[in-house]
Amino acid sequence: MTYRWNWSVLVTEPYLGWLLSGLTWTLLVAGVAWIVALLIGTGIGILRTLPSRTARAFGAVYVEIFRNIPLLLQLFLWYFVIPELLPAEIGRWIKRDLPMPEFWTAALGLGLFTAARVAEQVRAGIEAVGRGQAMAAAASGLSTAQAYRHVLLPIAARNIVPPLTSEFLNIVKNSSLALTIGVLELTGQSRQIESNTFQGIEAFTAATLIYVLLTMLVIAAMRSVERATAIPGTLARA
Amino acid sequence: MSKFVQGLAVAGLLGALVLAAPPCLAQGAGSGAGTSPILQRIAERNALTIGHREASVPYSYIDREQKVEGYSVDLCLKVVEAVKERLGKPGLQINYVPINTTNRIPLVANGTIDLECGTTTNTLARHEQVAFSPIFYITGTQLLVKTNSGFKEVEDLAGKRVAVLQGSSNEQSLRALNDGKKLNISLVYAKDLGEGALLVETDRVDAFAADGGQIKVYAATRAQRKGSLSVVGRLLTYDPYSVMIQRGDPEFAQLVSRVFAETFRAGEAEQLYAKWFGPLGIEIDPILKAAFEIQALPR
Repeated sequence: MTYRWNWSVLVTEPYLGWLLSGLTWTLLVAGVAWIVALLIGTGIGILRTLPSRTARAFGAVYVEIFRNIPLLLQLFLWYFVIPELLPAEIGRWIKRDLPMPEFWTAALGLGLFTAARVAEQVRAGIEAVGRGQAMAAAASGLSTAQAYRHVLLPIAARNIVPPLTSEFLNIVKNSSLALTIGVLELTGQSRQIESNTFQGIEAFTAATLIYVLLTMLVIAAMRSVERATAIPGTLARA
Repeated sequence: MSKFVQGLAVAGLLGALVLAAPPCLAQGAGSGAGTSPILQRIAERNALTIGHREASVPYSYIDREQKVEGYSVDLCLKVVEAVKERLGKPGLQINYVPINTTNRIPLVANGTIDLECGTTTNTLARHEQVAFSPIFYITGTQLLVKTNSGFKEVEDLAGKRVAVLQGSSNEQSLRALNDGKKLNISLVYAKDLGEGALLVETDRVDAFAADGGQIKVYAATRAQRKGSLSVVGRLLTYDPYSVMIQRGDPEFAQLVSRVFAETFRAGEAEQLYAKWFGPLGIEIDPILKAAFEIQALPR
């Protein structure tokens, strides 16, 4: 091995700035995508447990479509294909006039993909509450909406914090795919540093450590959410 | 040291790195390898590994029959011939390993590949990590635009969107120009050549700044409608291509330089250029012709 190590590239300008800017984009993509995934995922997850057959079918179709196509391909479809299929003016607006089209495409694409996975967690969480609780809610005169609002969702939400933690970690890691449609997030910036300085190993090591730190923070935050919302005597650890 | 004992020692060293062996043993491993670690390594494996690009037509790519070929690859094969002769191994195997811009440096530096035959710009910064052959192609940053767009130079793109390859020398130069001349261009990052061209074809960007030679080939061969794309503008950078080899092996570097000088002197480089670029209707640039002549060192 004739590789010449030079760790100082990581702390010299402009490369340090590049890493930080990459970290910022990673946080933005993952953050926006997570909000989208939670909102849509919760909605679809609830649809999949409703009495209405149509609602259940709609939820199932959504989940299967978004779960069964590789994320990379989904991003390409959103970025390259969809704007071409839309009416010319709308397509042009998406491609040219929308501020930061690459960022929004990546964040929404990642959010919609993860929403399918979150929906499955939500469905499992609601089903895990058990038919007994649902029946008890109905027996006490609560409407379906009230049963969800006051009984099923509050318990389900607490139950699914651990599996949602995994999805949150996935979204942070999957945000690196945004580089394939031109968002220079953390992985993208470390590649930029590699091609500028040829010190790729240092740049990728730095990116790796930053991802690990980031995911550790996510785990710690979700753990404290779990603890803060725990109801003594239920599934969650007291 | 008797021949027998030496033979035993060599057998014991099989699988171990020859780098650590004293020269007298290395001689046994492959006659003619001398003190060159790379040649010793090749003799030891009885194989030479070429690193190639997958889609850099016509320099280095995999064709429809899954065969690795191209202008850069043909030049590398000249080096392979010289290595065979030097080691006295006419049956030397050639292994092909696909590489990309991200892994090419580490793979050359750690000795996984012996010759990197792609489209790598020979820069001083890169000399810190690897060594380079003489220059076999010269290009520079130019702009791929829609033929009917009317753009001529980078200044016409003020305030527009321009695609660049992530981490390319083209991106650095465009960014410098953009800041220096206050052009207010917004850069869009593409992953590879095909994607950059697609961005232009779908009107996502107004131009794609990349190595002129490569986008000329793209416009000539792959534009969705013939003549719909053209390459315009002065050369914004100077990008000389070279073959990368591992650093710190002067003997192997000398062998490579010798092969290239011979190839330039015999006019073979020009023939290879005609073979690969002629069918695309791309004439040899006077500056490249001059580079061949200048680097055709006498024996």
